[in-house]
Amino acid sequence: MAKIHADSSRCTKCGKPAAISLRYANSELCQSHFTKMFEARVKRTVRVHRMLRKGDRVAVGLSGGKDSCVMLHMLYEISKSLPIELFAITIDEGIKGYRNHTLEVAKYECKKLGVPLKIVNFHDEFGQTLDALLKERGTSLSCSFCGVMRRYALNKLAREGGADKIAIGHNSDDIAQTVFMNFMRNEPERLGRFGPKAGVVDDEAFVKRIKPLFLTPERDVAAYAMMNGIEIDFMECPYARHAFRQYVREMLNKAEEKYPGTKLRIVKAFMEQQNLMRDGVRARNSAKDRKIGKCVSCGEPSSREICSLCMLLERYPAKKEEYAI
Amino acid sequence: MEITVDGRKTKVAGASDVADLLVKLKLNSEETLVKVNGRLAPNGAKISPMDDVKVMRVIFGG
Repeated sequence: MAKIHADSSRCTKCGKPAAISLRYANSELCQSHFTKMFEARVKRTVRVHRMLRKGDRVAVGLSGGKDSCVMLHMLYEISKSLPIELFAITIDEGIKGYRNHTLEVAKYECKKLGVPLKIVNFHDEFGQTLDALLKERGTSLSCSFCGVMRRYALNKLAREGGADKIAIGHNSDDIAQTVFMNFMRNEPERLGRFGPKAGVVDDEAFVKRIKPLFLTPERDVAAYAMMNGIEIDFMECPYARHAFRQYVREMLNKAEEKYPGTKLRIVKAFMEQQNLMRDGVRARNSAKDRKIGKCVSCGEPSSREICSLCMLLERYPAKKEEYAI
Repeated sequence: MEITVDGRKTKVAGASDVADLLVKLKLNSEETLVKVNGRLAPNGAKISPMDDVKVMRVIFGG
């Protein structure tokens, strides 16, 4: 049996030995109280933002990383009391030495819970792996390409699978980073579309996206996974170091260490202002009479003439041969 | 004392608790979790050279 020092920190709730310090909440919790708090917070986020309805068919975006695996477990837990149908989609971008590890975790976790899993890869969807695409176009825009292509494939596959919702494992750290990045890039329209339930415009071609971990810090997700026997792969994406997000992540974590609660306060401040921003985006869209149409190049849904993926591919062409969807 | 950081063994001198250990390793407590003798431990958990201490960086790009 593991040895616990008598003078170790105690759980704020019950006085038993603590397992984790939550500086953002100025508390320390034992495993049992942390697990209860964690699950209650995710369920409350889903309930308050009306993310799920009875009978929903939910496509779970499952990378096999800790966030999506924990989200899958939480949705499975929720499905015991709210009748929803789950299936998972894993997208293999084709990142050598990285994605193959998390794919195994995704398969294992789905098998454990009896959730059907569909695995698709960039090569089949787009004719090229991410590695091959970036070899031709350079790695500086790796996350832009990967993010846009993953969203594109996930929406298409979820729609084809008859999903009412796509669940995305973005945690509150991701949200705080995105809010900050959009401010730093002066992209208010993106921020207007962003939220626990994404999208301003309703269109059947876009499957609604929900983020059950919207108010859950990334460190808590890792701790929950460790405490509850959920597989964690500690590998970092080899392209992450090229990302602007990496810079913002480090900046916010430094601020968090000095001023605990900073990241959650950013998310909550964003939520307070979001309705105003959404109204602004709606007004602007209506003024321009913008509607969801189809991309003239690939036929997928887009609010512009050409969708984000086709625009990226056109703006950053391959150095040697043309790349077609 | 000998500890493990992300699976690699390393030596640290004079750390009395988890928070102190992370400062000595120049690691951000917001990005790490620490296991002492196989169980997750809070920042204030005391540690000694007899303990099995594992530090894991859990926040990264994926």
